[in-house]
Amino acid sequence: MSVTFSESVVASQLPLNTRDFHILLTLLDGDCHGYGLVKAIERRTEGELILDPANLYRALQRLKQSRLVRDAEAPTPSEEDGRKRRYHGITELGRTTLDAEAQRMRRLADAVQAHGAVASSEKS
Amino acid sequence: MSRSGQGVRAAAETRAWERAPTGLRIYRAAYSLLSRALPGLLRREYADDMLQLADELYRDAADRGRRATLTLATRSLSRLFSSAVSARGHQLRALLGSRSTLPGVPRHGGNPLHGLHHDIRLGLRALIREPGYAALVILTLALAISVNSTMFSMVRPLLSPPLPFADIDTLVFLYSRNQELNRQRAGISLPDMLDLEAAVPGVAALTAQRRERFLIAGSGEPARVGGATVSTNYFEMLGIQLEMGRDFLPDESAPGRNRVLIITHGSWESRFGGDPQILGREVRMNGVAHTVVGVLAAGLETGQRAIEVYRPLVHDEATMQRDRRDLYVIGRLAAGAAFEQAEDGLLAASRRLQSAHPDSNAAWEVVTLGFRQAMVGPNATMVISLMSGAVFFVLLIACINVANLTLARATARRRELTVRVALGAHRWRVVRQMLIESTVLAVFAGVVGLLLTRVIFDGLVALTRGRVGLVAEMNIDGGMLVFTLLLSLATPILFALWPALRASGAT
Repeated sequence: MSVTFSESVVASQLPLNTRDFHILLTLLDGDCHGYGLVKAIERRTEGELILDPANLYRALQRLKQSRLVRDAEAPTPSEEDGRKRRYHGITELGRTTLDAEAQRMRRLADAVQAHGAVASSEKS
Repeated sequence: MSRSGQGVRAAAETRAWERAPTGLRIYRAAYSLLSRALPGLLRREYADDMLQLADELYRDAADRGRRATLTLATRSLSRLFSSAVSARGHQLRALLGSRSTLPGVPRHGGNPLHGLHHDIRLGLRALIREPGYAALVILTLALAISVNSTMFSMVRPLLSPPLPFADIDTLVFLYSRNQELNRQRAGISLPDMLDLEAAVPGVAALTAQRRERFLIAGSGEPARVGGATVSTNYFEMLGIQLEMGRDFLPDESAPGRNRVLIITHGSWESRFGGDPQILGREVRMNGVAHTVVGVLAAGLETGQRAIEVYRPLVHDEATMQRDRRDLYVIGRLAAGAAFEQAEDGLLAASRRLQSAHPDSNAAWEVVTLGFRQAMVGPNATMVISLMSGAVFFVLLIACINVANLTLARATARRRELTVRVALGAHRWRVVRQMLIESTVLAVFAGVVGLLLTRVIFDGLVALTRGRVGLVAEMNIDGGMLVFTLLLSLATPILFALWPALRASGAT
């Protein structure tokens, strides 16, 4: 990606909470509406995280205010679909932030593993 | 889910949308009602999407059976509620610039309200597990709250009179009394009133009113409306302001000249569409053409049996009969005159009328009451205080009963509470959770109580047929809602604090 963001902008968003993390992760697959987000997150977390409408839209509102998520154009609505759904998409800043969060978590995981290795060696 | 799958699904939903089952309709209504508690920005932007999504998830759950549906509905409604509460909390903290939002300081550090929405949710869940206890408590408290609210609405007019009259303390109310016929509060006849007005110096003026129902054709279909026939000096004497047009003229009490009307502001708006040309407009009332000459200032309508239309009381053969005691007469004390002076003067004058007109006036005398007495009857203040005390004790007894229930429940829950304290829960948290559960119950009881109050009002109005002023003035309004809410919030302290302290201390 040619667009870059200053580190402080990205860092100010971290750490992401679980909900925001999963929303951004799901939007990597493409623009999606509320129902699709809830179902995809439920599936990925194997029912661990089930968002309800209030939580979802509060999170989306917050993510849009921080410019991690944008309003997306709905694909051409099918004839029989009488109701309009609003689609949401991830922004470049969103991708960068998600990436930074993944790296942060990897570092944490590494740190814990290193500590675990030390602990087990002490025991033996 | 694949996009094409969604298309098919959406089509099915659209068809199903038309014939939503009752459960969904109730859920939808509850959801949309509750979503109004969300902060403005979120609500304006996303309320529709939220409702639609809630709908879709409900249908999903409905496919999996009743249990799943119930779980989903309870969960998403309570999350919506706690979302609203916590979003408002954030707003409030941002507004107050609370120190706890500074970087490096734990966000909720030391906040005694931390986890409030969690406790509310926990409370709701605990109550759903014990519907019997919840129903019993709600019903008991609702009954007690509704009698208190009813009493409040009767006491209130005494504390702050709802009538739009000027100088209430110089107003007196006149009734005819006949001990032989055991009539305590009959009206007064027109000729008696005119004679009394002329004969008693302590009274500056008298005015009369008689309630009626008029058949009136406004902008739409003819309708029966509440109205009154009044003396031509009625508005002037009571100090009631007109918004436009003119007051009745003194000679409009003459037969043939009385085909004029003054309407209330509310009636002007609702029945005549706020017609700017209302003055001089011809209106058929009881089949006779009348001319509208005035509109009263807004905010003068009171009570449930509101008067919408006034016409002048005509002085003719029919109304000038001395035994036709059907007028509600109000007097204004003369400047500097004491109430007792006017009372004695009126009684003496009515006794003179007994001898002057023995056929119609034998044994009839005039009783004079001050405003507060007239609204409730003799010894009003004492009776009202006694009744208020009595109904408050009803509430107290209800609270004690509920406290017993709560204590029994707390004893049964001792294991749960012990575990919480053992895991490091502060005693305040345990007490708070029990208080919150009780408050949730009490708020439900308040709502049920308000509905009951409504039923009691209707019952009382039907029982008194609107003849008792105090009852006719009863209404559920903002003050009433606040009173009931305060009562609902106060009762948990009465019924739950002691059991909560005991249960948490015993662990």
